[in-house]
Amino acid sequence: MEKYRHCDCRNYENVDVTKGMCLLDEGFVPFDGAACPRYERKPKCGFCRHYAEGAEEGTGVCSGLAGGEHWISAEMIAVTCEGYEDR
Amino acid sequence: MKEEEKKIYEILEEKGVRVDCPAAEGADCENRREAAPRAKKLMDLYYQSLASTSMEWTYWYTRKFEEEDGELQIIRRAKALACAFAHTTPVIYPGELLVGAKTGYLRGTFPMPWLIQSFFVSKSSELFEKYKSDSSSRQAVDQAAELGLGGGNVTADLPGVISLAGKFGLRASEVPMLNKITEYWSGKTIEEIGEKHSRWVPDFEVKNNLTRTLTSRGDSAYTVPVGREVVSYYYPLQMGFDAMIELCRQRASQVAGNADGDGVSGMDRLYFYEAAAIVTEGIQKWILNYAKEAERRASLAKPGRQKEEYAEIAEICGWIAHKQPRTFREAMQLSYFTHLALLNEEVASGVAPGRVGQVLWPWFEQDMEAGRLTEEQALELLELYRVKFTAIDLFVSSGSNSVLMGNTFNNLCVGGLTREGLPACNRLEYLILEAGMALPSPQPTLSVLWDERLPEEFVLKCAEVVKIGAGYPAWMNNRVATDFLLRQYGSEGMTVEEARAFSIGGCLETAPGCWKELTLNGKTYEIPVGASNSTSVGVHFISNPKVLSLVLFNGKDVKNHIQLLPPHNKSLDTYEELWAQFKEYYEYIIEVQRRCCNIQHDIWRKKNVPIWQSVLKPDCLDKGLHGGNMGFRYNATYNIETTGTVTMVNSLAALKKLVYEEKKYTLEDMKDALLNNFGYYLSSEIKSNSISEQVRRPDGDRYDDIYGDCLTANKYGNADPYTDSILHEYETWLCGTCANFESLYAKPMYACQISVSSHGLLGSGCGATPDGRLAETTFADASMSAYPGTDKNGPYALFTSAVCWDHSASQNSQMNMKIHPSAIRGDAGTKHLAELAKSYLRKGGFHIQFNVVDNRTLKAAQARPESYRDLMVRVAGFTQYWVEIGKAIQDEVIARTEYEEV
Repeated sequence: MEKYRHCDCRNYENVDVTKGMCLLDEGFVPFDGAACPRYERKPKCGFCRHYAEGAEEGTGVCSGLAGGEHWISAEMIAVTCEGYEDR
Repeated sequence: MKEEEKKIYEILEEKGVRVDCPAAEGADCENRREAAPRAKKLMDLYYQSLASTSMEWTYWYTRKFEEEDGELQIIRRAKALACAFAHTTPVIYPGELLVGAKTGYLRGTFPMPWLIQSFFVSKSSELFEKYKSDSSSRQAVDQAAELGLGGGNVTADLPGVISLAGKFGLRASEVPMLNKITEYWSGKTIEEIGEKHSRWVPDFEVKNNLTRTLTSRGDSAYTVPVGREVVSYYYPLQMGFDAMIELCRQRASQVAGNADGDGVSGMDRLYFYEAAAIVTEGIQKWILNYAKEAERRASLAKPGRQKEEYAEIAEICGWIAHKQPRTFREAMQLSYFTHLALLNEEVASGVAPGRVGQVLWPWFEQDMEAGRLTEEQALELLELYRVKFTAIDLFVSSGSNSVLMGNTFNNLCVGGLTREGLPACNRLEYLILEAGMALPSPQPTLSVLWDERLPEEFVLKCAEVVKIGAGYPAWMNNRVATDFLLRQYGSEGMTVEEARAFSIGGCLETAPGCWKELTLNGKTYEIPVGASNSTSVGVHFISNPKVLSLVLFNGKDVKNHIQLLPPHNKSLDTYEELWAQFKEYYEYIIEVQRRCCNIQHDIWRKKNVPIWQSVLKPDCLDKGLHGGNMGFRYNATYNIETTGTVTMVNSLAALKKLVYEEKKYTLEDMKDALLNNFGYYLSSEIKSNSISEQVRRPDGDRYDDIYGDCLTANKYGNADPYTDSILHEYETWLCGTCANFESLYAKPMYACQISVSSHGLLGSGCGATPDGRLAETTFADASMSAYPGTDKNGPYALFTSAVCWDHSASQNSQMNMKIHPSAIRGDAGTKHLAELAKSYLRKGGFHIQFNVVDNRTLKAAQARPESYRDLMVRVAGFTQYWVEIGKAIQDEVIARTEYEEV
């Protein structure tokens, strides 16, 4: 998550699995494209302090919710998560 | 192709059978209107978007479900649903006035592995491995071409994206989630548990072979268990969510510990009310997340119209998450969230908004009177409503997709009658029709509930809309439908007045409704709302021509070389013996499918309790019973679906004439010709199921005589008493026998005679038929349409044939008609079209729909799909983008008889 992509930006609105819309200028940008200087971090599990890398490829561990630890993906968008805390 | 291999169209032309029509001049459709700029812009955004799948909903549902291990199933499911709603990322696109999506994509959807996962779990694992090891080749995929061809279907992998079920894209980074979640649900799905217990049914193996051989599609409980029904938005619109939650809590307290005379489900009422409150709270949070996101956007946006619009969205969502809507726009927005929530609760196809123009009338009327709304504003909202509904996708298997063709069947009906039997159409419905013209799109599809009492002006407006070529509105016969409803639901208390509250669920499934009293600002209205279970679940699609083939070959599926049904060992010396055996086999198939289906749906209702569906529909909240406990007002909704009716009728006519009466051929001659596909290659050999592309083998001419006689034998659709009597006998038997079968709700079943696209899928699984149809090609579409090119005596002769039986004995019948645009040009053409539709309905037909299109356009679209992204056609009960339907069905639509005069 160190090299930020458009899809990691708060100004990126998903359109589909390949692209989204930049809300700042309303144009299409590719999902995986490198973010621009106007980048603003979107809450995602990988950016949360309650997230830890897991043993299995592609998943980590969430310890931020009342139900206890549970596996999760760093790529999950967390704008609706009550336990999200920016790292 | 060798010189002696002849294409079928050449041979058919020699025999006087037309499979294609020469295009007439002047093909442009009339009445195209311009949509509002913002609607057009959002529609353009839709056109550029791909069908996309996300694991977000699936993850949160599963996580909560795991956490609640040990809790009652209904509460566990309620909490899982609420958790998923509350964690779904809101998406709002600039310019939207109506917001909401199933997931965080424009046309997003998601798998429900607790229902079924067999069709994607192995695929996902395989593709994950492929992604890890073969990423460089994946980069070579031509993304632009994929976006341009085939509409928004992700039919192949893209860089960083895998294709699931031949349609949906999933980010490769989400595949590990998909794998972990499917691993959790392994062994717990409705599909697996249903199969396990269905094994107790005698001849269970036959059930799976029926599916495998494309003889019948069963398993409705874990393919699309919900839908083909009409929504009720009544409770949210009348009470608002806060009051609904409060009602549930009060009722829970009242019924807690009381059976109140019902020793079976009386105690369940407590858990239902608890679950209802939990799910409603989850949906509230989902809507409030939209309010929060809109508020955030408003705070960041530059001063201007967009900033104001974000603030309006925040205000509207913040209000409707709690209270009864105050304005027309709020009512539309609330109904849309309510609708989407149903689609997120369960895999649902054909969840129909119903008579929305009558349901939302109170807000429209009061806003207009108060000067809060203009017709122009209402029209813009209705166009935006069309964009939102068109963006709804459904995650189902490739097999289901090939039947549904990606359609979601959100049918919006106009017209019909009030409780008192007066015309129910209103000014808002005119605007709904206008919106359908200004913004042609597959959803919501439109239907008119036609009755003699509807004003002529309204009927002409409907005809005017048909002329734009979008395939809607379909015309449904109000009287025939109410006759059916009284027949089917009389024992549950249906009256003539209540029957008039019906609407169409799905493409053309007659669905019972009821009248509810709605109060807005002290004024009382009566609105028609859905009040039943899903109306098209049960025995899915029996292939009628395949059953006839099984009769001819002693129960053996000659295509797949298996003894599918028990051998009858009869010589079939007479037509009567053949017909009797057909009925015997048919009833056997229904019985096997029905018993398995009842078990599967019983497991479904116990495990996947339909909570939100029940909250919305009368009378679950009153009774305290969810739908699975027969809380709905009407529960006799299970059906038996058929396909290939006309192919079967034509085949019976050919057998009767050529074998049994004229004795020109023996039954063995006929069977030999069928086994050898009349001398043609199998369509699988030439890689095309299309009717017009079949190729004769070099030595195929030895079957020319019998093939020619089969082709020219009597055909349905020509007002020919010979074939009409066969159809009459079949329909009289079918509709009667369906009522002898009992659903899991201990109610009689009924016949459902639509084809959707099953005439393509099941046609591909059927050998040649005695009517001259070649192996693996499509059957005649619908149930009352003629086989392409065989209706030679004009539309009125076709109507005469179609109405030789009582359509009110069935849930529906289906008639598709293709008309060249030049045949209905101008105002006179509009009147002719309206008269044509009325003529059929007056004779007793239940349904008719029109494709107003020029074959040249369709052929051009096949050749250059990238230039026809927005071209739509009516297939069989639904409108779909041409580029998103399979080629065999495309060819079948092209081959349909095109009327150049009406």
